[in-house]
Amino acid sequence: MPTATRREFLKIGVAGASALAAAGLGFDDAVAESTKIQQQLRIAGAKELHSVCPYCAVGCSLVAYTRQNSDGKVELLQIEGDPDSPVNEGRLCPKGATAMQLAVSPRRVESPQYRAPGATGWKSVSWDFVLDKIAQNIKASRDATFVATDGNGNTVNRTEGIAFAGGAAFSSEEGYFATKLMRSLGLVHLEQQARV
Amino acid sequence: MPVAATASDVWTERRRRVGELRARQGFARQLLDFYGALLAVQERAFDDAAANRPAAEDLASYVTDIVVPSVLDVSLALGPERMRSELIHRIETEHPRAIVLRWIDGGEQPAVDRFLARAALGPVLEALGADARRVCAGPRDELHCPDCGGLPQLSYFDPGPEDLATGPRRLLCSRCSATWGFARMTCPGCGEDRSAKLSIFSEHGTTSGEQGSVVRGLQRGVPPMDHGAIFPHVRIEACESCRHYLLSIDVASDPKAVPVVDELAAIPLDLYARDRGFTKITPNLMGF
Repeated sequence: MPTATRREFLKIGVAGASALAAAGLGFDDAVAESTKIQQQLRIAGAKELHSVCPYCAVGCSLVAYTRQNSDGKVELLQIEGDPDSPVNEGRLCPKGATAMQLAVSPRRVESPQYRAPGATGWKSVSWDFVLDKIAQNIKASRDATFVATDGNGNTVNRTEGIAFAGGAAFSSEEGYFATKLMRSLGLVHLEQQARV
Repeated sequence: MPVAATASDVWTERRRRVGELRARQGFARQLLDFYGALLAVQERAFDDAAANRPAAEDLASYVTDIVVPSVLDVSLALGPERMRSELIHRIETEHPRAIVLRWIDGGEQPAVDRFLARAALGPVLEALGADARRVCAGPRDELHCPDCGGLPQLSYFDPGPEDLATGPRRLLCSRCSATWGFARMTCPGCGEDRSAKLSIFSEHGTTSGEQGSVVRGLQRGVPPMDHGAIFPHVRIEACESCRHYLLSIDVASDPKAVPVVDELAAIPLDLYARDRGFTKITPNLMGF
C-alpha cells in the first residue's frame, strides 16, 4: 500500500474531493460530509487468491482472502467456495468450509507430540527427535518381521509388521511418493483415506 | 429458492433502502433525499412504459416527450444548485431528444447530460426488456451488458443457494439495469484475471476471520459483532492494469442491501478509490 504523511493524506483527500465535486452534479454537501467519513475509514488493500481444498479427492475450489499487514506478514482472513468453479459452484462441505482452521486455529498443534512407552501423557518434542525415533522404530520392526521367502520357497521380501495409512489431505504427488517409499521398505499393507 | 421480485417490488425495495441508508449514512443524505424524490418519477415512467409499450424505434421520442419533463421538474425543484443551473443551460442550448439519443448511442457527454438521459431512459429500458434494449449501441461482450451493450455500474454477490455456498458474482448495467454473471476474480473493466493485479479495498473488521469465525456466513442468525465498519458489505474492486474500479455489494452479508442504492450512497469509498488514482468504470447516476 502506498504510504503518505498525515499532511499529504489530507491534501490528497481534499484534492480528490475537489476533483469529484468539480466533475459532479453539485452534491457538494454530500462530498464534504463523505470526505470527513473517508478520513475515518480503516481501509486496507487485500487480494483474493485461488486455492483448492486439501481434504479430499473432490478438489473443491476455494477463494482465499488475504491481506498484507504493515509488518509484511500476509494474514489469511476468509476462505469460501469459488462460485465460478465447475467442481463445487461455490459450495463447500462442513469440513471444507472450515479449511481456514488449518492455518489460523489457536488450537492447532504446532510441534510433534511424543508419548514414551509407559508414560501417561504426551510431551512436545523436536522434529529431529521424532524423525530419528520413527526411523529407529521402522528399522526395528522391519528387521523383526521381514519375510524373505514364503513357505514354498518363493522370494517375497516383504515387511509384515508395519502397515501404512495415508491421510485424506495428501496430494497426488504425496500419495505417489508415500507408496514408492513404503513399497521400497517391503510393506504390503497400504491404505489411503481418500475421502472426508 | 428465492422468489423473483416483481416490478413493483423493485421500486418499493429501492425506496425502503433509501430510507434505511438515509438514517444510517447521514453523509449521503443530500444525495439520497434527491434520489428518493427521483424514484417516484422513475417508478411512474416504468409503469407508463410497461403499459404503453413504445416501439423500439420510437424510444428516444417517447422518453423525451413523456419522461424527460418529469425528470426536469423534480431536478429543478429538488436538485443541487449546480445541477439546476446546468440543466437549464443545457435545455436552452440543446434539444433533450439529442441528449437522450447520444446516451443511447454511447457517445461522450457532460455529467449533466448523462444524468438527464440516464434518469429518464433507465426506467423505460427496465420496463421494456431485452427487445427495446437492442437499439442501444455498444459491444455485446462479457465486459458489457448482453442486452444493451452498456458498461457495468457495480458488481454484487447474491446469497448462495445454501448456507455453505458462495453465491455467484453479477454485474449490473449502468444503462438498463440488466444483470449478467461475471467471473469473480476478473476485472470487469479490462478482463485482467491475475490476482496480483486485482486489489480489493475493504474496511477492517468486515471479513469472517476478523469477526471470529472461520466459516463465512456462520455468524448469520446471531447478532453481528460490531467492528464499527460503515460499509461492512461494500468493497472497492480495483485493477492495477487498467486503473479502473467499481464497487461491489455483498448482499449475502447484508440481505437488506439493494445494490443500486447502496452503490450510490458509498461516496466515501469512491473518494478513497480516486485518491489512489483509480477511475470508476463508469460514473453512477449521480455522477460519482
